[in-house]
Amino acid sequence: MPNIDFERSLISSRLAKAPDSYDFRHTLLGVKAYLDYEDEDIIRVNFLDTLRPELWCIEGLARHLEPLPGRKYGLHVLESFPRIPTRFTELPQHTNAWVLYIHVDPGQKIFDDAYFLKKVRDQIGFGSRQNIDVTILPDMQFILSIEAPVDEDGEILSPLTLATGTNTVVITARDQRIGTWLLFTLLCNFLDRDYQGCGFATTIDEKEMFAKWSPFPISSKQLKETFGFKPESERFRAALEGMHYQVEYDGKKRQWLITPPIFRFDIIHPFDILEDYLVATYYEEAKPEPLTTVNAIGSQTKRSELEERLVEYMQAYGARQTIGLLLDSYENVVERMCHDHPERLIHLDNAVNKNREYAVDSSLPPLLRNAVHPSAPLPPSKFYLFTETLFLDKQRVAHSRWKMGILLIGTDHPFNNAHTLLDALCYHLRLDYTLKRSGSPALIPGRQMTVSTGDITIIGQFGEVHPEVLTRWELFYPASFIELDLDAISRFWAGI
Amino acid sequence: MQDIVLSDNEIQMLSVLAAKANEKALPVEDLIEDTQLMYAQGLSAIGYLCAKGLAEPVEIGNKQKCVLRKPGQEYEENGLPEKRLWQHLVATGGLTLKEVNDFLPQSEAKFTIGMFLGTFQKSGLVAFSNGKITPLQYALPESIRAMQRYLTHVKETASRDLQNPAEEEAYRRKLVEDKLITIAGYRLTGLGRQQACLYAGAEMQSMVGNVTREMLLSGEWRARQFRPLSVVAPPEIRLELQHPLPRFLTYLRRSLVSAGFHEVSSPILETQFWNLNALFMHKYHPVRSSKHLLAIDGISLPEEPPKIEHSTRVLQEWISKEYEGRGTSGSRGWGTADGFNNDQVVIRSHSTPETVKHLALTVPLPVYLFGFSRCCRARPEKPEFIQMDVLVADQGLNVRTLMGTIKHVCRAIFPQAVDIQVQAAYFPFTEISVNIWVVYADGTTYEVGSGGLMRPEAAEALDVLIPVALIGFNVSRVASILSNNAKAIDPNSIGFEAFDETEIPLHAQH
Repeated sequence: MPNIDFERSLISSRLAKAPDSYDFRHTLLGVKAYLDYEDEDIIRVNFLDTLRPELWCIEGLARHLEPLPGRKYGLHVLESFPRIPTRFTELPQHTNAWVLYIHVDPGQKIFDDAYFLKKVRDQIGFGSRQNIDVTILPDMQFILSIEAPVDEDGEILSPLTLATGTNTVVITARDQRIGTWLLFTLLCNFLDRDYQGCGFATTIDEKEMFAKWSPFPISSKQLKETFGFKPESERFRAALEGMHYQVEYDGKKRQWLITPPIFRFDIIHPFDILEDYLVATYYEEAKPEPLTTVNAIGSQTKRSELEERLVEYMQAYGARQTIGLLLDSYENVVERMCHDHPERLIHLDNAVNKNREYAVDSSLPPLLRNAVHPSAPLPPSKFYLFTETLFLDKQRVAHSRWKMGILLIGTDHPFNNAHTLLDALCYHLRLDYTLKRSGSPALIPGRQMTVSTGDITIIGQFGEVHPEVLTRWELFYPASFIELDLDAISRFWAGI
Repeated sequence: MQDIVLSDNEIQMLSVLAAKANEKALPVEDLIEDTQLMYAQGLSAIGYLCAKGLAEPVEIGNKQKCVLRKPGQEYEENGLPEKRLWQHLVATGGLTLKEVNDFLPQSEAKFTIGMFLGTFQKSGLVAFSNGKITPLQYALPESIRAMQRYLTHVKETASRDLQNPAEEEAYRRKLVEDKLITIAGYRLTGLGRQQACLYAGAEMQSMVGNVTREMLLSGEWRARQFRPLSVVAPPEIRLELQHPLPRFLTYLRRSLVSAGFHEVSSPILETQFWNLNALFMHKYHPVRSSKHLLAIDGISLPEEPPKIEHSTRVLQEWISKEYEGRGTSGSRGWGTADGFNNDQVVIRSHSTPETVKHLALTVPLPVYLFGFSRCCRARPEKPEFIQMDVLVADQGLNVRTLMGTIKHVCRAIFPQAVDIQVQAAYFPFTEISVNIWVVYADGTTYEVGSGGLMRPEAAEALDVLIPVALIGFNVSRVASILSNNAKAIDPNSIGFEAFDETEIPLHAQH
């Protein structure tokens, strides 16, 4: 959803509609955009559609809000210029190039396209000049050598302007559709500024790519089936022509032939055109109609049934439910937990926040984090949560488990209390279980057990939290911990 | 006389009031002076005495105090950002501007860099060379030390420290503020004076408070009376046992089940294929960039059963064909599918993969599904969020029945809404995309979610040859309309304070 800043002076010089008028705002809705902010210099428009980059410059916006009379933007615009035999002596790997030769007469106004290009690059090129780049060379250059562009942090926008006389505009892009679209759009923009096109060149086999902008056939039947209503023909035609489509109707075949304007990046399927009609007419004809086949009653997952069952028991037990974070810091997930296998944790290289760069592999860190929160009730206290946990096995295969964690703080006989509660929960769920000593570094050795059912499937663990862990969390009360693997239990649980 | 039962602490406080504050009101600090009571105990006891009509609060004066504001509290506790930055600079030996930016939370980075790095350089504390910032001394700069000391002083004394040179800056940075605190005193009421007389007798000393093991063994209790204990008054706000977030999810679940939808769920770890590619997402769409997507290289997911594995490979092939414009949907495609990285593991960035995967792999058509998904994105604020996705695949779907389905779903969730409206929107994997608004009888409108028809390329490639409707809701957004305490329904909020204040919404109790 890019925000684009337009200079107020530029808008005023190109458009008759005042930006603060109802008309201006209402017309913006027709391209899924709205006025986000304005001051005396800037008018910021928020475009919901990420794939309508042609609108992010004054020419593109003007074409929608106040089209130049008689201007058409079909493939003929480019095809009327000669294809210039241009030679590329050097081109970065996996990169394609397009060239436009443009002449600017003396006295014609010069525009800077750097901001437009930056926005395009940010939104459909991951911000990298290697994905999209434009350079402008003086005169008509027929032999071109292009080096791989380099991305720099905090890049300052260098002006991207044509000079009076003839210019060679070189577009490089990895993606052929993006590059072709940029060629078309820059050409439309230049022609709207009354510059003259002198020719073009490209390294791709352009026929197949240009054909993507050829007419789409849409039958009247398809129209009715997609919409659920039949739009009135003239209204349909007028709405689309208002968006620069070329529209023809073949009465014999009962079929529309609709050609998208070449500056549209996003039209690849007849559905894209049909949606444009709905947007242009503000969905006025799309009256809701019930879908008669919806079932009388649905169902919930076995896991959510199990959760609700456990919540009922824990409420009767007087424990409070909390929620936990899936992503936490190295300090909380590794250091404070005395974790003995940090390599088994999922680490997010591109986490923006250092406090949220590791996924928890147990419900204990979020429970302890809640326990030491300033708002936590004073011990003795008991609370629980449900959370997803993620971990890697030795083969670096990532596993996910939905778990319930329970923390009993400040009670006497923590280990026995935890065992008693575990036993009651298993009885409540009608689960037979067996216990085996375990070796979690977060729990006291000799005071921790894994819980299994069906002899081998581990469904949980419980034990007394190790004083070292409690000390590192600054929780100075004895505590015991129970964890149930609800994914595993779901397989054995008979349900309600 | 009215039978009023008092606790030990209340009796003690009543006696003190009778002795010291029969007429003149005194603050709690003065009242507890010669007692065994802690301040909190005294305050609690006096509160109960007031609630029982035995004592009354009176304003006895004002006091100007200097207190920490929220950032001040945070910096006092965790250290000033410039202090943390300095320590990190010293520990690492030097940082680039980007590393400095990455190290500090976004909310602090801009200010700290702008405010301090230039000053440090001017004061000769750091050097900038080759794009790197290097500290020229190990010790923490005195200005930072003074500011940290000032914050601690204010926290501990609630007063200003005129000697500290950081005082002016602390006010300028809005870390501290002056507050006029009202001082409350307490005195006995008429009823209190009567009660105090009853407890004045020496026989109180001989009454049994706590029954001890020694007392039971010796039988000492037989010769004494038991002092009656107070029934603790119920709190003004009843503590909830269930957290508002899961409780709100239960409400949404029940609404949708009763509207005819079936719940599905799947793990948060997903492949790039199911998270984005299967939905026909453009290869260069910004949601694929590392600024949005949390992808993990070098790991894999557990193997699926052979049948599902095979189906997935076939679907991947079909999606690639559609992407390249060689499929059967009539699409001209976006271009080459090279670099799709189908098997890369990601943390689910939105909820749609959950329902779409079920649609493609497990259920016969038509289907009416919904699911809740915790999702994560690479953003500094609220990286975790919960979405709810509704999916309908039905032969009868078109634009009008899509609107009817949106209305059906919204009526189930927002039963008090009088109208449901839509506005054109954009979502990369739906074509016919709308934002959904609910309208209430008083004229208020809220944007609640979004919906649309799945792109035909995706439906075709997933072998779903009928239209598919996708409707999505951000749970926190829906909660902000339906719950009186939306803050508690943010999955990034932890702790207990928020949900104690939540009223159970009427619609959720039903």
